[in-house]
Amino acid sequence: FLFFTCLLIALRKVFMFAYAKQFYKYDHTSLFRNIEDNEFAEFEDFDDTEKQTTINNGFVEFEAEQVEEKPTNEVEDVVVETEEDEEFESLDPDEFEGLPGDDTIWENDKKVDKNIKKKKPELKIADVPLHLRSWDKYYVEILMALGIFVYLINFFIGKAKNNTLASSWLSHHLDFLHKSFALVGDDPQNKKIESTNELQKESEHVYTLWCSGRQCCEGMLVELKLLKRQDLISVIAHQMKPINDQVTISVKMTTLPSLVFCVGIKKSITNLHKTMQDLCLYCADKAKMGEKYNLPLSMLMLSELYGDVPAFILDSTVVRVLKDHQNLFDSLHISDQYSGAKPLDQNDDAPAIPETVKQITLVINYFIVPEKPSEIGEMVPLLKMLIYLSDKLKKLRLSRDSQIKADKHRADVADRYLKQTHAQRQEAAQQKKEEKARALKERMMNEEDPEKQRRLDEMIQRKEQNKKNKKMMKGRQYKVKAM
Amino acid sequence: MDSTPNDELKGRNYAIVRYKPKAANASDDPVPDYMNLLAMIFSMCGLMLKIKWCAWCAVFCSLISFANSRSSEDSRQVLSSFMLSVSAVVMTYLQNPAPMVTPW
Repeated sequence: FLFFTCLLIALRKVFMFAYAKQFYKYDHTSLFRNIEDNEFAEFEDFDDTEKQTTINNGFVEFEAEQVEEKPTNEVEDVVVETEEDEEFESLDPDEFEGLPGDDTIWENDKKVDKNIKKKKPELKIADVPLHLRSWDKYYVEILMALGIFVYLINFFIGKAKNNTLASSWLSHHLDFLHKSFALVGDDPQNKKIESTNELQKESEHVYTLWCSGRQCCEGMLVELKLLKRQDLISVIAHQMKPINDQVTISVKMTTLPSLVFCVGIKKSITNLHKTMQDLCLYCADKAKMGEKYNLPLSMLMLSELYGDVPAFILDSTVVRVLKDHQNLFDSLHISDQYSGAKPLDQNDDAPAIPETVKQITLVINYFIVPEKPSEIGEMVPLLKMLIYLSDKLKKLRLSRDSQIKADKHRADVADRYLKQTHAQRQEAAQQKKEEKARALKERMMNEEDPEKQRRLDEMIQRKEQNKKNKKMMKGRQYKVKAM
Repeated sequence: MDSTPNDELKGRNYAIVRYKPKAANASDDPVPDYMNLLAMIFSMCGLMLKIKWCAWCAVFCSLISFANSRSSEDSRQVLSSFMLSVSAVVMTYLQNPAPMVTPW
């Protein structure tokens, strides 16, 4: 902030200096013009030595440079005067009536005198107006500076607000986290395994927390994706299209039965069904309503297997928690083939089988209601439910039928991937073969020993012959079959 | 040894896994990178072509990039682009101190 104010002061000084310079330049040119006019006016008057001295006196008020220049000009005047004398002799003086310096008209002399007298006040160098008279022309610049100032103020306010939100979330959940996990908050740069008990700031609007140390859980990652309150443009965008803060809690499991299941509000389910790779692959059916399991009407569910899995997951405790916190709950995604969102560029050459992890993801929407600051505390039951589910799922044993179905699904998906990559792998294999043959030929060419060369040549010939034979055999086989 | 309720919740045999920060950060939010690039382009235009509004836009873009930047990124990049934009503004005004002309 101090830095900015200093910068603004420096800029202002620069402007004032640059503006002042302009004025000086202007004054100089005008003064020079005056001198020139008077010089030319004086050419026709040969008795003007007196006037010239007065002019000289007048010019004393100028800077030294100009006074020095005057004598040289006078010398030039003398020279020019004589020349012009001859010129003007040929000209009819009657034709020049009315001009300043014309002897015939007495009034013109007066004018000249007046001019000389007027010169004195004009010789004063005008004061540069260094006051604020110029500033009103710079209104656009002032607006820009104001804009920057406002943006900075909003940045600090937004940053502070996000920070308080994050710390209040942590303060509400820390107790439960300590009970559930051995390590709460991990600093990757710290070699010792210590609980930091602090959220890690990924950016001004994203905070993360990693907890680990629980049976059958690799760990739990909490991401607080808050609104970009520190960016004024985002704030304006949020006013027009409201979104809310989100808390994404993902528990990475070590053991999870083969299931893909998702439940959530309608909007998020449709979105997830399109974007999540595992949901696309395994849950081909449309999302169903969950009346059978007493789910609220606003929620839909997606599942790979509709037999015993949804009933097991959506037991009374879970449903009760979901119902109580409908306003907060967004989606719950349980999958043993979780691989994130689908890649955007579908036409990639080699869609390799994505790496999958066993993960339970819970997304909570958090609407800030200024009248009810305790809403963060209401998120705790959802977290508890998540932990409860993760424990419960460890004990789930799928029925034989379900297990067979699930395994078949997974095998199908793997096959599909293999087929897709089959063409690429074939090409790659062929290229390798060609490379080998080429290398062999090169060896043969470069071989100095004629014996070895001959032997290599024979080998190559034999290989080619074998290939031809194989092709012929295949052709014969097809012919036989056709017959 | 007393088995506290904490241990029972966590389970007796648990393994602590260290945090691995997500590597794929760039694809998540492209705003700071785009704004950084825009700031550089505007400041270059402002400096070379002596266009005042370009220089001011550069300052704004670098500010937006700074606000949206991730903590894992180097702050030097953002700072240097900010300095460049400020220098563009100062240079354009030194060369031409007249106020900016608006099209309306």
